[in-house]
Amino acid sequence: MSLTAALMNAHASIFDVSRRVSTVASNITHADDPNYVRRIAVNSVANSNNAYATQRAAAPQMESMRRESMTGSSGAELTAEKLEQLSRLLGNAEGTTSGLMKELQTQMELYAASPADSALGDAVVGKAEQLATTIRSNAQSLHGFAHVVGSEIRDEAGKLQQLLTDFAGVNKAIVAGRTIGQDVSDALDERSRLLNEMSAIVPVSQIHRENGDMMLLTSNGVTMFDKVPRDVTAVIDSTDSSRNAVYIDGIAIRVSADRESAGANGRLSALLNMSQQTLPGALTELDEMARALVVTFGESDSSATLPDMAGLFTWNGGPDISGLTSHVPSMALSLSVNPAFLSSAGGSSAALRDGGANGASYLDNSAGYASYSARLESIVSAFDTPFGFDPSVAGGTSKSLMDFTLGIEANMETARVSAADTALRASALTTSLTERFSNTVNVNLDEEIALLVDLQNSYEASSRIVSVVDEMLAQLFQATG
Amino acid sequence: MSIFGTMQTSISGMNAQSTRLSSVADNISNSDTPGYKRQGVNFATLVTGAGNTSGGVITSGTIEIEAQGVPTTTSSSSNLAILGQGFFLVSDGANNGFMTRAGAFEKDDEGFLVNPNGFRLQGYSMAGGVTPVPNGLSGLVDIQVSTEPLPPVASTVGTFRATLDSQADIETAAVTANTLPSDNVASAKFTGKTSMVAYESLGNEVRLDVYVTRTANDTWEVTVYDQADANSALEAFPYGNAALGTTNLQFDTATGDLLATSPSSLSIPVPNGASLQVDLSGMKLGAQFTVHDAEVNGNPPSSAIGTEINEEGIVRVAYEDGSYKDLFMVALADVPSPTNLTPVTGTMFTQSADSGDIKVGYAGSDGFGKIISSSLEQSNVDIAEELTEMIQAQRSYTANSKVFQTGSEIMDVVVNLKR
Repeated sequence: MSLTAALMNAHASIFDVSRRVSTVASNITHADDPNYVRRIAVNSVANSNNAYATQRAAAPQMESMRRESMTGSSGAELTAEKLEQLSRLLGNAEGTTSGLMKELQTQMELYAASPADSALGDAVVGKAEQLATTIRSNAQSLHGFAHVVGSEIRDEAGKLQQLLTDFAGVNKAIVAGRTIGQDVSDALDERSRLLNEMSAIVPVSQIHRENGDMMLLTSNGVTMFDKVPRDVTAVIDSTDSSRNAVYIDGIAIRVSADRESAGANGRLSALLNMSQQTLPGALTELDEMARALVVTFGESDSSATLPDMAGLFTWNGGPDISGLTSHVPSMALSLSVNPAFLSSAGGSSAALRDGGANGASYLDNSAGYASYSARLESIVSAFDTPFGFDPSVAGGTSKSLMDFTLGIEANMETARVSAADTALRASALTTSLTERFSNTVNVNLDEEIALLVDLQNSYEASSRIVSVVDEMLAQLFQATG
Repeated sequence: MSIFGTMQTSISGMNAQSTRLSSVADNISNSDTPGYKRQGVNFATLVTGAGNTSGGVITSGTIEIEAQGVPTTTSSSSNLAILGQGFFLVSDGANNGFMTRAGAFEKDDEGFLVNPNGFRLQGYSMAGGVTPVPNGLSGLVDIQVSTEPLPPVASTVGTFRATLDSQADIETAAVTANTLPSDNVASAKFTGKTSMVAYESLGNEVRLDVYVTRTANDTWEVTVYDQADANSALEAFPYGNAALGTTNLQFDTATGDLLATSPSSLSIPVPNGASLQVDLSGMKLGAQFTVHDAEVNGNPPSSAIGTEINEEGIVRVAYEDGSYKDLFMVALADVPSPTNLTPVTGTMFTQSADSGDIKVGYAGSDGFGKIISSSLEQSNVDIAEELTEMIQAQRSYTANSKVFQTGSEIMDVVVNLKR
């Protein structure tokens, strides 16, 4: 148009370049921050005065894929960690439960081979004491573990509530900023970071509204945030961990019964599955083991009129064992050796061979033979005979006590290995997605430096225009004297 | 043919060139004035008699209004520039009808948009929510930006759009035993639950619990309660008050959409608020229960965070919850012959006898240009051009003065013929 117009354009261009350099500087400063997303300077051509705006590099689909995988991997990793802790908790210094049971059986066989030897009888009672102690302490450890898991659930729920409150504040700032056309990139970075942390706890889905507003839902259509954050409440039952639950907006989080699916839905779901399924299941198995021991070693009335009574093993609900037909909760916590067999309590291990610890009518060896082995042998074979376990535990009526005990440990080990494997795969996926995402939106120093070189050239060219126009005008001034 | 005539011709030439020089001076002194339009000079011949008698030159001034000045960015959002045709209308409180292209408006202490000379920008009020019809200079008001907080508005209209699980269990037992959510009993059974936020008259939020229950193969019951009436945080039923609203939706199980005969909206009386009409026409049957939209209008009181003037000239106030309120519309004016406008101190123009009547309109319509904010239109004077003009004027003046000198020397000769 005219020299003056050229001058003004050069002026605007210089101004623009200096602002772009400041964007580059900001990018370079935050190059190491994983939560910082590269800023891009954009010239808006819509109005002819080249208004300058900053945009934030975005890859929304990759971001949501990454968040989904983070939900899966955090849940899977937590499940694997908890199962690892659990299996270490149940492996004792005295040996595994199945090992101790095998030793008890072996000891019984030795006693059955020479029933007259009371020292062997005492050895059996000693092994029985070890087994009872182990089962009891395992049950206590499980209760303690359930307590720990319950408080972790409470912590995660509290964390989620705090994240939702922070999210509310940041969301408001974004809406207000967008309305008056301010640069809200920092707030958007912060919001992304909060969403990432939330995704590790529960699966999050977003609904975008105008002006940058967002509505958050979790699985099953439950609202977590809509203009205001919803309440997250954890209900922990200290006695029965299967009643633990977390309520979001008054609706309980639905937890899958399958451990792997629960783990795929975030940390809260993994912890709740552990509280609701794994731990009660393990406790039930121990209780059933205790019941089987008590019933196997029980004494029955030879005339079949009086009810069966507890023999070597008893519990705090004894001595009548006639009612032990199905699972009795918390039986394993009070499993103990009957004092009538303990020489330290004035009893004798002979009742193991003869029966009669509960009275004369329960005496098996009525003739008083010293080498009476019938009762001992029947108990030894009972270890390998199918026992009527409660159908809710794995195995039901087709397992023997020994197989049941071995089966419990095998299942625990399988679960541990499989959870570790799932966690490995899930975290590998997350790592790879995070890397791809980072390559797309985070700062690449080489790119920024190259941009800086370009900007320097631009600046030089614009200032050249200014000096050329200045020279031209100077010539005119000269001509006018 | 007379020498006197020649001298007078050269005098008229010198006058013309001095007029030209004065317009150059004017232009150069205003080369940085925003909104300034370059003044030019037109020359025309003056014929005084037939034959070879010399005449002269007459001048007339023009204003190069058509030439657009370059807009530059400023930091104030109330600085405006017009891209295209049109003038801003300003008034000094008593008289209006002043037109200008200089848009350096700032808010004064009362919220009026004033330029550095104290003139207020004028436009039409949008208080009724309707775009006013321009009607000449009548109806123009001074634009006043008020930053009062947005008063609370009770919710009146909402949308609830969700996908319902087409494989969900049909709660026939609950239907016969009257334990549906609409019955408000402790053991109520429902298929899905979500919540929405609505606002009552004072702007306080009211949380509404929405229950959806499948009561028959193609029928779903939608019931809404006030969350504040819930029995406890974990066990909501029975609520302290009856349901705010309930309806039964009929779906076409083949397509998943609502049947034409099904109710498609629900009217909910918000406690302490207005009657909220929730549109349910977007409900569908699908794979799993997902909420797509739970929007309700209305807002709590929120403070104003900024003003914005868009390219149609609408002056709006932005509030912190993201809503806007349109206050005024900036009026633009034009005349049939803008080059004949009378310039007035303050980079303004007024109507003259030759310019024609003022026509008022809005940016973007009727041939008017668009308004951009945070910009100022610079002067359309080019210094190089002015300096060249100045050199030309100087040389022409010198040439004319030479003619005068020659004429006067010849006069000398003639006068000295007679002793």
